[in-house]
Amino acid sequence: MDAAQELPDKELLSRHTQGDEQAFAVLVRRHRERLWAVAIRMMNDPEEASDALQDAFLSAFRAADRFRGDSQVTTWLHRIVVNACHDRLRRRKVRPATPTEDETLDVISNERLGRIGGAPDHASQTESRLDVHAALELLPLDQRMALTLVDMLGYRVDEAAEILEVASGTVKSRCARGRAKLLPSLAHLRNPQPPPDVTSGRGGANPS
Amino acid sequence: MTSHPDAEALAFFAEGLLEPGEERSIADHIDTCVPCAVTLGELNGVTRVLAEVPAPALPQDVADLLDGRIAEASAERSADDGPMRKSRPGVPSESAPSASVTPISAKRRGFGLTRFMMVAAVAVFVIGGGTAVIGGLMTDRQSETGAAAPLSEESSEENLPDTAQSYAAEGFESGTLYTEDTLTEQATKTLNAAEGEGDMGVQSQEDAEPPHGAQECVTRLEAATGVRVTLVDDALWEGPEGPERVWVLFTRHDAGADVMVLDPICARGGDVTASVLAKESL
Repeated sequence: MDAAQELPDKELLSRHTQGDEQAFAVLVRRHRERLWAVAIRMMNDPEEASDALQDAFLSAFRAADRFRGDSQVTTWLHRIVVNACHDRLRRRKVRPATPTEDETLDVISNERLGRIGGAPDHASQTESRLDVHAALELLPLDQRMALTLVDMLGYRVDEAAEILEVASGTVKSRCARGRAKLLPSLAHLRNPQPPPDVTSGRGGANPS
Repeated sequence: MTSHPDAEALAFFAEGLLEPGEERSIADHIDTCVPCAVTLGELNGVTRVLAEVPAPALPQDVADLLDGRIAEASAERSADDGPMRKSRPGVPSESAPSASVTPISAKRRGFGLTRFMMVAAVAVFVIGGGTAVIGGLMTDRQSETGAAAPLSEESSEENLPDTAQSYAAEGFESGTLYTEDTLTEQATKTLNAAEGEGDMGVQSQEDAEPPHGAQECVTRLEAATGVRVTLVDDALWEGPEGPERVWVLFTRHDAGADVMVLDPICARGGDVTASVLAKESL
């Protein structure tokens, strides 16, 4: 029935809790594209994004009666998807024996700086396709999730704050820390070169 | 300030998270320190790079899977509530809207998505322009979706090493800090320097491609104004709040040449002509 598609999210959720068999499906269809975008960017793997999204929708299906109605349904759904992704990322993080974040980023950045200093590298262009996600993998999860929502997906800071259930200032500082950490490993994508007419004693484009 | 603020301090500065005193001292420092101004610009660049990462649209099989799982859950619940209520998993009843008819308006509603779609559109430009350096997410499935279809033509692996050749405009890094008053003469100097380089046969040198993200702005600017951009100088601009990173575009037309100062924000989409900070004839 077409009418269900016109109902507001909250009404659909409430009908779902009262036993309506189709209401939740309408809700899913309404939001799945957007939530897929969140999941795929968080997970960077279609299989895992799909799993996370299924987990999330099923848990929303079951937890609908606990929706308090003081936030938007979309925010609530986002929160559930983000949490599902968070759980998977945390497990994924434990798995490989990688060095700690800062060490690894330093290694990446040193390699990059070495290259930038010398002949520019066409060879690295292919491998750098993966760099954005490789670099994101190395960030602390909090920073990564904030950056994924705000920088990758373009959510406003206050929207991200509501989804992540933290203060706006916390989202901002997580983003700022994350960007600073990503700078050395992503700067090469922007083709940075120190201007030749720099008068300062420091020559680098990335003083630290 | 005698020492340079680190990248994190600059990132906090950019977010307005610093105490007033610290903020002032960094602002003062940036006024006189080009490298730190550049770093500040590059922090914005991180945001831009992240925003440009392409994401595949929801694959149909995942959409079907979700429908199936929800139908199953619905059936289980109905079975728990009472065996008399029937519901067959995976088979949409007559009252269920089919996936293919979800109205566009519903998909676009709410926060975030419009922006996301814009970003996705930008990403297509990026790939189309040949800078497919961050196309790691691409999967075969995605080429089935309409929005991502153009990607499959340009971003295949074997094309990547040749991306520099596909640029229409040449890239340059003069290191110039352009100002409004001296734009014409600075631009002329840059143009001569860049052309001199070409005359010497080093046109195909390594940095002869526009800065990352600039190409789609160039493409859109060319489409919007009919000009032809010949050179992009990745440089700095003396803005009201100190030096900022800009792309200085050199265009050529029948009557001569123009220079345009473009805010890199144009890479995020929207009206590209709104990102033009200054324009002069040469």
